[in-house]
This record gives sequence, C-alpha cells and structure tokens, in this order.
Amino acid sequence: MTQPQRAVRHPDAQATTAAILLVVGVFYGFQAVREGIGTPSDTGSGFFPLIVAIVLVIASALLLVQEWRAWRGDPAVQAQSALDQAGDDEGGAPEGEPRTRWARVAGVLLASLAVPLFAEVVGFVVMLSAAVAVIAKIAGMRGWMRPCALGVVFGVVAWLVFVYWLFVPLPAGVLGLG
Amino acid sequence: MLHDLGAGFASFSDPTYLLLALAGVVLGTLVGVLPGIGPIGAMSILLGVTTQVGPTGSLILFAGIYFGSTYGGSTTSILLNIPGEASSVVTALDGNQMTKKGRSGPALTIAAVSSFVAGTLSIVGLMLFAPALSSVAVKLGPPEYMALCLAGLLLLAALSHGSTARALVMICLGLAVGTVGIDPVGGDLRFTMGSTTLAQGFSFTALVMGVFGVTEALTIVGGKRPAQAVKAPRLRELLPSRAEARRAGPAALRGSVIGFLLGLVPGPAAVLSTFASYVTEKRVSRHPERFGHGAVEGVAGPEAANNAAAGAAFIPLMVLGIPFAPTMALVLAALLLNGIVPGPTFVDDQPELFWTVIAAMYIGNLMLLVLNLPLVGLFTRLLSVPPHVMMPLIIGLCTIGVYADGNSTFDVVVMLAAGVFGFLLRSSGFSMAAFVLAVVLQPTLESSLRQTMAFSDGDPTYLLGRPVTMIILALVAAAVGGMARTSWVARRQARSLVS
Repeated sequence: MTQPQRAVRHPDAQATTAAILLVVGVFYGFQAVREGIGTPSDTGSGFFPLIVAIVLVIASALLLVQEWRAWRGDPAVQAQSALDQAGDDEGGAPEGEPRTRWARVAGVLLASLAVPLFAEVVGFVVMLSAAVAVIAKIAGMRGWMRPCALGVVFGVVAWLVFVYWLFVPLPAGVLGLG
Repeated sequence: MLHDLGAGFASFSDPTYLLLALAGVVLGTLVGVLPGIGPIGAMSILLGVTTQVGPTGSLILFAGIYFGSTYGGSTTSILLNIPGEASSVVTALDGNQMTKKGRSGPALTIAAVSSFVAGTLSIVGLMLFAPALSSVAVKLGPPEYMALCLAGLLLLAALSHGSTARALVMICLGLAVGTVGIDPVGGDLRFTMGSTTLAQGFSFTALVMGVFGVTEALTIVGGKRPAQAVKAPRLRELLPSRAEARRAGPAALRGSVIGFLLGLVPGPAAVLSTFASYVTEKRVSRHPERFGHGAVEGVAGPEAANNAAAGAAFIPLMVLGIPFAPTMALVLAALLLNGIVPGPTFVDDQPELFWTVIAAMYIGNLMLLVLNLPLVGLFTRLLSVPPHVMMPLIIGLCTIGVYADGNSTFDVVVMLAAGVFGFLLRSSGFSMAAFVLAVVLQPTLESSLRQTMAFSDGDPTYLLGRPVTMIILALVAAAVGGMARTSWVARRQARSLVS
C-alpha cells in the first residue's frame, strides 16, 4: 500500500492542542481541589485526581515547549516532532496537509447521534437501520437503493442476534420492534 | 493426578458436556468478535440458565465463553483495528499493521496458535501449581498492586510510539476520565456535575468502541487516510512464513509464562499481561524498531499472554474462592447458584467437578483451534468488503454493542464523543491505547495508592519494608531510565546529523 505523501507540519495546530490540554489539566486540578484533598493518612476524593492533574499539566507544558522549539527551528526537535506525528500506536498513517472532509464527518456524526436521540420514539433498530443507510450514502455508496438495502439487512440481522437470540432489550418505539 | 484427569475426560462420554463446551467456545468467539457484548455480557445473560445445566455444565460453558472471547477479541483487533475487549488492545498495535501489509492471514493464524499453546500451558500450570501459586498471590497487598499498575503505565509511556510526553498526556486523560463517578475509597460522588447518569462513571465499552471503532470509521470517511483495498488471501497464504513462525514461537512461550504469572494477580491481569508481554518482546528483540509496524512477536506474545492469564485466573477462584476478575465473579455466581462454594477444600471436596473442568478446558482449547483456523479465511474476507459498506457496519455494530452493554442511550453519546476525541488526537500522534489502558487501570491504581497512604500514615519510607514493591519499582525505574537514555542519545545523533 502506498503511503500518502507527508506534507508540511503545522506547529501552530500542535501547540494549540498542547495549550488546550494544559488548560484542561489546570481546570481538572481546580475541580480536584474542590472535591477535597484530605490528609496523607486520610486522603480525600480529590487527592488522586490532583496528582493526575499535576502530571497532565507538566506533560502538556513539555509538549508545548517541544512544539515551540520545533517552531523556532531546532532541527533535532523538528525531526523528533515530525516522527511523533508520522503515525501512532494504533497504526494511524502519516498525516498530510489536513484536508479532512468535515462535511462527511459531521454527517456521519449527526446520523449516528440520531440513534440515541430518537430511539425511544421511533425504535432502536429502525433508527439504527436508517443511520447505517445514511452513513453508507455519505461514505460513497452510489444511489439510494443499495444504502437502504444495507440498512435494512443490518437492522434485520441486528434484531435477530441481539433481540431474538441474546435477549437484549432494545427500545421498541412506536413500531414495537424491540 | 493423571488418573484424576483421565476421570475428568471420561465425564465427556456424556454428550451434553461436549455440546456445552462447543456452545461455550462458539458463543465466546462470537461475543469476542462482536463489539460491546463481551464475555461479561454473555455470562450475565446466561447466568439464569446455569441452574438448568448444573455446576459442572455451568463451569464448562463459562470457561468456553471466557477462552473463546479472548480468541474472538483478537480477530477484530487484527482485521479492523477494533479491539473486542481491553486485553486485545495491545494485539491491535502490530496485528493491524500486519493486516495493512497484507499479512492478515498469518497474523490471525499466529494469534490462534499462540492462544492455543498458551491456553494449554496455563491449564497444565493450573493442575500443577494451583495451591502454591495462589498462596503467593494472596499475599500481595495494596503497595504491590500500586507498583504493578504504575509499572504498566510508566512502561507504556516510555515505550509508546512518539514522545513520552504525548503518551503521558493520554495516560493522564484516561486516568481523569476514570475518576468520574463514585470514589472507590470513600464512596462519594465526584466530577458528576450533579448528573445522576454520570454517577456510574463513563462506560468502558463506550469509551473503547469510541476511540477505536468510531475513530477508525471517521478517519476513513473523513478522508484522513485512504481506505485499503485488501484482497482476501488464499488458504495457503494463511500460513506464516518460516521466519515468522521462528519469531512467533519463543514469543508465544514467553507470553505464556508472563500471562500465567500475572493471571494470578487481582485486577486487570489479562490487560497487564498483554502489555508486559509486549514490553518484554520489544526489549529482547534485536529489531525493536519493527514494533508498531507489524512485528510478529507483538502479536504472538500478547495473544499468548492473555490466554494464559485467562487460564491462571481460575486458580484463585477455585483454590481460594476469590474472583480476581469480573468474569471470574460471574463464574463464582454460577457455582453459588448451584450450591457449590469454592475455597481451599474445593479440589478435595469436589474432585470430579474440578477435573472435569480441567478436561473441559483442554477440549475447549482444541475446539477453538480447530474451529478458528478454518474460519480465519472467513474473517479475513471482511477486508475485501469496500469501505463504504464496512464503515457504516462498524458504526452500527459499535452503537448496538454499546447500547446492549449498558442499556443506555447516554453511553452511545459517550461513544460518539470518544470517537470525535480520538479522531482529533490520534492523527497528531497521541496514543489511544495509552488512554484506554489508563481507564482500565485507574480504579486499581487509585484504591491501592490511597490504601497504601492510609497504611503508611503518609510515610513513603513504609515502602522500604515491602521488598516486592521495591523490586517492581526498581525494575521500572531501570527500564524507563534506560529508554530515556536511548531517546537522548538518538536525539543527539539527530542533532549532529542535521547540523
């Protein structure tokens, strides 16, 4: 498989991510203090979270420094930073110039979100079938017949496996399919 | 002992036991492959029928589900980068990379054979060492658990792809997410923002399906990564090459030993064992740079480890009557429903039951190997399904799996949020495996840390009187220090090259 061509990295985006994580760490730390730290021999609910928050702030600050040094042009740090982003532990491929199709992503998320929002009314299996059909269409399946067929087949199989076989109680909605 | 084992096998002249073993391994494999259900869900659903099949039948059925789910969980990890359960997270690191290199068949075969070898060895260990090893495991206290959890997390940070700071950030985020809900020590609610829904915390299933399944789907749908067109291999392509088999063999044996020993430890032993095995393989490898890019040892070791841990987990349950894992708690519940109370005298009081279950484990492992190897091709054919079909199915399966796990639409929302979180961070080199493993280890780590603080009255010198804890921490410090030095040397070399 050919790898996508690596493009210029975006230190600003990376630094923004690190800064957001730093803010999250500080906020979480404040919340931890509010929960109560206790004493060394009688620790409170916020004791462990405070330790986590401190490590999170330090690690985020280190990332921020690393990104700043890379942005300033330290070649070794740039090389390391590029290597860090060249893939991830879970097999993420090198990321090129961000050309994410945000409309597609948003469409998939909205279709997925419709399932928990309307499952109680319309029925879980029906909503899930519709969501699968819409996501298939967004993902590039041609026409409307094939996505709808995929949605229906998925819904039937899901009902047979989860409801009929494994006795999982799914919201039936108005159609009473659960 | 051999006579007793023979008597155990003789029990299988009753076809009911054979059918239960077959049903268990098939159902286990199925729930391992299907996201969201898992062995706990399947066992919970079947708990009601255990009184119908008796204590021996219940143990055979549940052991089959348990072993089968560890097999099935690896399949989706390798093929789709969606770990069926936490103990398959590590398998995904190299297993899915092998798939991307067109080696999905050998990866699945190696996983199946490694699991079989480890499962068989762990049963031998269960027979031979049960009483002695259980007495050692039960002596571990909070400081030792704390050290083990810290070891897992710190080594994960040191060994993750990319910078240690990135992995540390993800570990902290995982630990933070884990703290939402009920304080495991004091019982108070925290970080719930007044919501009763958050009182139980975030569903682990929802988080893991989100950061792996939904993230993967969004990455491909969003065009961040082109979908792969992978042809399903022919039957002969399922076999690993000689070189792969040579590298996998020793890794599987090492993983078996590591998994068996860690399987005796309370808590997420299966998860810890896979990670410990992965770390070990990376340390002993002459080519550590291959790890994370499709190293055979990275599949064989962890897969052997989680199966060995599954076998070893029965030891404390049978000998001490203490379930060290949620699945074992359900096995205990099945026994109690049938009027059987496992404990130190269990083997003497119930020899027929004990040895029949041992025989069932042997037979179940053999069944899994015989069933799964021919089915490897079937699972591999999933890769020939085009992405516009596969991606909606992944999201659909994740959605229904998460809902089935907790009967909560809120969990589905959490899954989608976790998917967005993973989508935004993973492409920047942040490790989702680190995040998930931190969520798993958080309750054990926090409880053991705070109990240690209470015992020691806040005095850190208390740990000096815990030799096992000190040894674990010293080994971690040495490993982390060694890796930090390697990283520093590499950076210096990079600087000298570019200047």
